[in-house]
Amino acid sequence: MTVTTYDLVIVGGGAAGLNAAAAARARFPGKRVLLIDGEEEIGYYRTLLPMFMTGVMPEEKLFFQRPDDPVGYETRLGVRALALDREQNHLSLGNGEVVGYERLILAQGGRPILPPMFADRRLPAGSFPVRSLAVARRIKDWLPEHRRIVVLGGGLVGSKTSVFLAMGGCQVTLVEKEPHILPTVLSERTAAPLQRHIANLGIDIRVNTTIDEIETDGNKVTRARLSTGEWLPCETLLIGIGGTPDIGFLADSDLIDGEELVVNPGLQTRDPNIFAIGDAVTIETAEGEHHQPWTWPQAVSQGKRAGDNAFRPSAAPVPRVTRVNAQNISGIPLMILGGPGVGSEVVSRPDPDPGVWREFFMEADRIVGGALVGDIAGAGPLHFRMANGEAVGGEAPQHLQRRTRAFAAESWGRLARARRARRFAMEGERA
Amino acid sequence: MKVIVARVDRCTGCRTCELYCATERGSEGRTLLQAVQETPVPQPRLRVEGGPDASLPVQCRHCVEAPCLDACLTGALVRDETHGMVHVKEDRCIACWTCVMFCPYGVIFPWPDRKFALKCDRCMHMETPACVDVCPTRALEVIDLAELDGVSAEKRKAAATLAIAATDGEGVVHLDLAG
Amino acid sequence: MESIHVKTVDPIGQDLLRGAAAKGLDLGWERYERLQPQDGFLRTGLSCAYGCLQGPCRIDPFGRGATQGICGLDRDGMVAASLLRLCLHGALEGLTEANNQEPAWPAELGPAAKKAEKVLGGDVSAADTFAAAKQLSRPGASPDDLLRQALRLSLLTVGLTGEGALRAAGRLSCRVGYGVVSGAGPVIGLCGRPTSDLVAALRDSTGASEPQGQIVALGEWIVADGELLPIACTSGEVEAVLSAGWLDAVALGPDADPAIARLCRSIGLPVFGEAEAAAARMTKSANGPNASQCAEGQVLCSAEEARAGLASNGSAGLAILAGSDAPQISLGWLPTELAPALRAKGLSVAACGDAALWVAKAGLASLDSDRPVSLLDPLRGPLDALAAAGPERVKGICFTGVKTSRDLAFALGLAVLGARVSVATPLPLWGSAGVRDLLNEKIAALGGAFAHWDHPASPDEVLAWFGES
Repeated sequence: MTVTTYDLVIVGGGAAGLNAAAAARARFPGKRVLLIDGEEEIGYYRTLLPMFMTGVMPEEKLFFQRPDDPVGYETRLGVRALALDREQNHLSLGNGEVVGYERLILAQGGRPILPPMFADRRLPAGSFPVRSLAVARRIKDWLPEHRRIVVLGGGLVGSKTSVFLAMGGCQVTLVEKEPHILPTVLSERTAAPLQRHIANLGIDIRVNTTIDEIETDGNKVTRARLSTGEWLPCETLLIGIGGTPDIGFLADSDLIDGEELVVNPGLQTRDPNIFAIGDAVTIETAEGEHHQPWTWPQAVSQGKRAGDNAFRPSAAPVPRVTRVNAQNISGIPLMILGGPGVGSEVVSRPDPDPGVWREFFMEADRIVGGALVGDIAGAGPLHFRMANGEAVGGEAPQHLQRRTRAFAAESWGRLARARRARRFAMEGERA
Repeated sequence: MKVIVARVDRCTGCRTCELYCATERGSEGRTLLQAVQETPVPQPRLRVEGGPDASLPVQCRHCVEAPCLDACLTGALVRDETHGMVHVKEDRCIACWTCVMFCPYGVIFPWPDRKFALKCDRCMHMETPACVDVCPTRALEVIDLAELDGVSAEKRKAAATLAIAATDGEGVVHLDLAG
Repeated sequence: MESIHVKTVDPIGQDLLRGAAAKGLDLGWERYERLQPQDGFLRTGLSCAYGCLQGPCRIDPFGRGATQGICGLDRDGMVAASLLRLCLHGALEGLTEANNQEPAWPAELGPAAKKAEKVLGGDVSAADTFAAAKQLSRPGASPDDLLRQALRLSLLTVGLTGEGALRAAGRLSCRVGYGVVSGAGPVIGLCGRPTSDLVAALRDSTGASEPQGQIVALGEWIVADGELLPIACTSGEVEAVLSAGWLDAVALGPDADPAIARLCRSIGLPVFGEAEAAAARMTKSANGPNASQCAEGQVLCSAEEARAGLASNGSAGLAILAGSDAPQISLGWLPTELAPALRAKGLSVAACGDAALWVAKAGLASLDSDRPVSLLDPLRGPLDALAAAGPERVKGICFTGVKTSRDLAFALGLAVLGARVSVATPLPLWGSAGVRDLLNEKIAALGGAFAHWDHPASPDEVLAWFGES
């Protein structure tokens, strides 16, 4: 068996992996790098898939990197990692190849979770998990002829996809098992204006229920049964109930704690030569908190940092670990600062506009999460004050007000003092 | 890299920069009186912040490690190779406002009417940025960061310059005020 | 940014500007450029005009920042109030100069004035200025009320023009152009509306010098001993002419701009008040321009003369050019382009103020020319012409630029009397479409029309406007 050894092997060509590869190439130009990915096509914006498959986004805007772009490293596409041998620093691939590495970056991401009804059967025609470009292409081809759609899962992907489908004239039912949509990131009160807005687009929203059976006709989806017993006729079933780290091939690597692939803030696993980033990892902070910031911006930041860290004697920490998300749900802006922690206090303020709701989750005098719906003024500075763990104390209600100003009042106190000091200094000079 | 510097001791909060930024960079007519009649209403790429005691125009700092560049989901936010400025490719922007959330300075502004995010690009393709051109008190200036390094700390303090400098972390507003 | 490219259409005027630049002199255009861009809130009428010190309040014309003042005033109220304030200033200027504070309109326009008074809420009088001042003390009045009061004041302003600026009867011949400065004796320039005593004193002293000196008006219409003093230039050209060094001294009236005295100081040109003028014994020191740079015309000074001079002569109608030089538009561009173009359309043309001076400088008012442009009293002219020819025959009155708020109030007042009026330079009304519409509505109800542009209008645009009637 011949083993080709690389200085750096990157598993996964999503946002995290590709950014890691680019950063490593830029910082360590002499190193030989290999990137592998299970998909045939990489270099696309995964977050745009709902827009792509509903025809809102043309294909040419989907890619940030094309297969023929010169990247300066080798790639194996359509090839999955099968097993990791840490003794030998070997990675076995699905095509029978074995590659050696000096450093390894695991950026393989997650895989879609499927509902239990599909545990022991193949997905029937017309049912798709929303995750990869290959599937998105199939959905895109399928949809024009099958416009009665059930979307399972009222999270961000499911809600966003439903909106685009409804705007494209499809008949959409959105099914969420919790009492409201976006349950992991929004409180019921915060979700309310959004849910109303989505319902007004003609989407039939069913909460507190799920789908537990699919009926097919010649392996084609024909209707879906809600847990309430009601049957929904449908030709398409889109599954958006989230993803889970794709860590099966690491089972024997001794890198997994429980179900989690844990890294330190420098993105190293317990093997300092193996980094892990993106939707596959759990980051453990110095304080011992576990975060799963599975968002695109995090993937990019972590990718860049891991690429930078690959051959450094000590790994620099990722700039900030927040799981914030922004969406524009057909004209309603939405900023999610983070879900409620256990025991966090909810601070909110009614707004005369029923489409606007701003809410924070506070622990002591720090903002730990919250959401801005309908009015996102000042979201950026707020996000960074939260990420920096700044104490906001009694100011929180002030931030809840609708504002046209982005900066907090106290920074202006500082400016004003400086300005007064300057004035006195000038007067002093004159005297 | 050339950036816009605002001098806090000179800003009177008149917001002339806002009006003419919107006019010059956001309107079809390119004159204020025509701009105010347009729909959607033109929007400025910088904002005068502050209260009765102090005011200051704030606009993009073009951070060295810009969080917005990492955050952009569509590749609409890019750094210009020649000028080093971060700018929005309007045709790629999908108005998700993720960059708005990732700007620590709050200087990326959603423009729902036009469905793209609005930010200062230092009018990099113009001779002088519109705001610098119109400031009646010369509170806004364009400086070369390379030259700023040569200016002594004392001088900077004396001028109470709110300089924008690249630090080794993220690009950070360099608040080098008196005291 | 918005700026002018050609400062004046007069080629010799351009030479003067180049000369001034070579001497390092800053003239009005440099100050204008340095002031750019001018306050956008004031330009759009969205800087609060109420006499209140809670503010200053300004409304964001782009609708993103403040949409109301501290008191809750919205953009319609703010724009309407700024128009009222301008009209109030205009009317007050008229009042301070009027011999008789009872407004009076020419007999022909009596019915129109009566109708306007009725529609606008009763007889107009000097007391309307108090009513306006009261309205401007607190922002309670609606935009509708504010505009109505503004129009009443504009009607008052027209009614206060009295005998006009020349206060003369009959026809006066006038000489206009740089050439009037040339001569063997010393030349003294007059500007800033000098008092008649000052003019008399200067005439005495220049008459006594050897060779005999002369006085010329700089952008002013001054009648002395029943004659119109020769006019060297338009009001916008005064600084350029001073900087040429053609004059031996200058006498300034109370209305002279601060820039004039400053410029004279910097070039060492003696400035006379009354006392110095009486005592002065002038000697010729400066070289003048070519005497041929001068044209003649005739001014129809009174309403009677206007009636006689503007009688229907087979023309398709009468077009009137009025207004002062404005820095936004190349000096002279509108009058010198419009007068021949309007004539070519078969219209008679009359002109007053700076517009008349430009037309005269270009030789278009010369009695030798084919259908010369009639020159009118700089203040009353358009009113006399409107009375003489009637609103039907007057195809339009274009103010090629407005300088004082009285000019603006006067222009509006003519529209209130049923005339078609346009102003070629932008007015602070663009911050509110509602106010513009309301203003149009109110004037249309009185049979008039008031056009203005959101940019300095070009001759083509003004010509098209004349063509719309």
